[in-house]
Amino acid sequence: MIYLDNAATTFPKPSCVAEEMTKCLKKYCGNPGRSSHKLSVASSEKIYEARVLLAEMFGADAENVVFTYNTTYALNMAIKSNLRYSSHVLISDIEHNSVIRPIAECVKQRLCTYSVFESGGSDDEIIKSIKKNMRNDTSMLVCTHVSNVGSRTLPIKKIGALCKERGIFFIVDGAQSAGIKSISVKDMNIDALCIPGHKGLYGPQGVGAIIYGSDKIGRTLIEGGTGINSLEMTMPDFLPERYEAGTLATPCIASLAESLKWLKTVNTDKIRSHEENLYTTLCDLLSEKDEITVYKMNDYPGNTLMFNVKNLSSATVASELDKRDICVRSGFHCSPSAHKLLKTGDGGAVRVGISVFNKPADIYSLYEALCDIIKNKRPR
Amino acid sequence: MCVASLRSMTHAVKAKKALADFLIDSEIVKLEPYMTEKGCAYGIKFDCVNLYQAEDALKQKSVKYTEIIRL
Repeated sequence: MIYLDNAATTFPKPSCVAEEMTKCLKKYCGNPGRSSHKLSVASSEKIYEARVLLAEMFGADAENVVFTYNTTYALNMAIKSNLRYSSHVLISDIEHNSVIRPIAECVKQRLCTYSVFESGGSDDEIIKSIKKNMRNDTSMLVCTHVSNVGSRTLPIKKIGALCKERGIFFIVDGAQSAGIKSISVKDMNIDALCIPGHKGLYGPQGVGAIIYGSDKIGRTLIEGGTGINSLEMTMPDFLPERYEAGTLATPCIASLAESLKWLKTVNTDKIRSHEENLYTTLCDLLSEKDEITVYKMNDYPGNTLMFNVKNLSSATVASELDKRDICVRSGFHCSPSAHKLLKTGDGGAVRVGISVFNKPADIYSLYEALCDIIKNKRPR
Repeated sequence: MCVASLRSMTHAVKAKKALADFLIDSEIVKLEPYMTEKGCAYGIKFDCVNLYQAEDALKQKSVKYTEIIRL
């Protein structure tokens, strides 16, 4: 089996992930933050370890790491708890539905209005488009760091500086960049960075996080037990407990801590370089075939490559590759506006997502399989 | 023994690690109801012999505590 759907979720995981999950479930999975007995404290200490590791990776304080279930939950929380009512929000033209839909819902509920800025061109052109769309009542800017459709990367440091200057709450969707690109919430003036545990951080599904750039708090979306201040009717007014109602996913967070330690030993710069080399190899191979159209949003390499095969739908190509034991993802990848920019808005495209575990042989096998599909032009 | 009362378990674990960095043994405890007005809360218990060192450690590691109680 060749797995090339790593932009959806990385697979396989480093062995330490499954090992820690099993260890947690067998040895120490008490309810964190609910008691002072040995197992509860052991769970709490493991979760704190994960907070510290994430805080170190993203230039934050450990208390400002709020665990969620995934990036979508993180984005919903960051957006809806910090939205200033009746204000204006800016998003980019390559956002995932995890940004578009919460904003659309807020608009539907007449909580805000929004505008879209252009993500194409140079950094200066992007900033110019943001400034052009900014209004006096703009209170929030939400954008992806790296698109899940074609690896377009936004200049978040420059956007963060502009947001700070204008007093705008800046939320970054780090779904595709966490673990791949260097991010510091403090240096980049990010108010809330939303990340998944199961993609570039190589942890399990079931855990994500918001990394807050400061300890300033907003409204709560979910209220409930926190293990503290139990006689109060309201949620605590400090991080991280304010946003962590209910029992956390201890086994997931514990194994995320191990994947983060593993990641430190591998080095994210080396991972990025490895993935970009494979991307370039694949891009060169596919570009030679007349029957294949490679879609690029930018000239620089990334770790996700989009293409289509002439006269075959993306779903057919993905299905044919699956028959040959190669996993890729077809369709619109929950990013309709990015596909519109790629001019693949009608039928979507095939996406290849590369991880640190892929080898050059995987890329050549994919290429050979595509040549075979083109040759046969019919389902096997 | 002394107990530093903290805002949450997260802060209690942070406090325990701060004291450990200064070679002070401590234990996370759930505070007695008389020690807290808002219900469940946590603290770290340590030997009062280390009180001044502990205060220093918590300050240096930016651990916010409500108060330190002598038991």
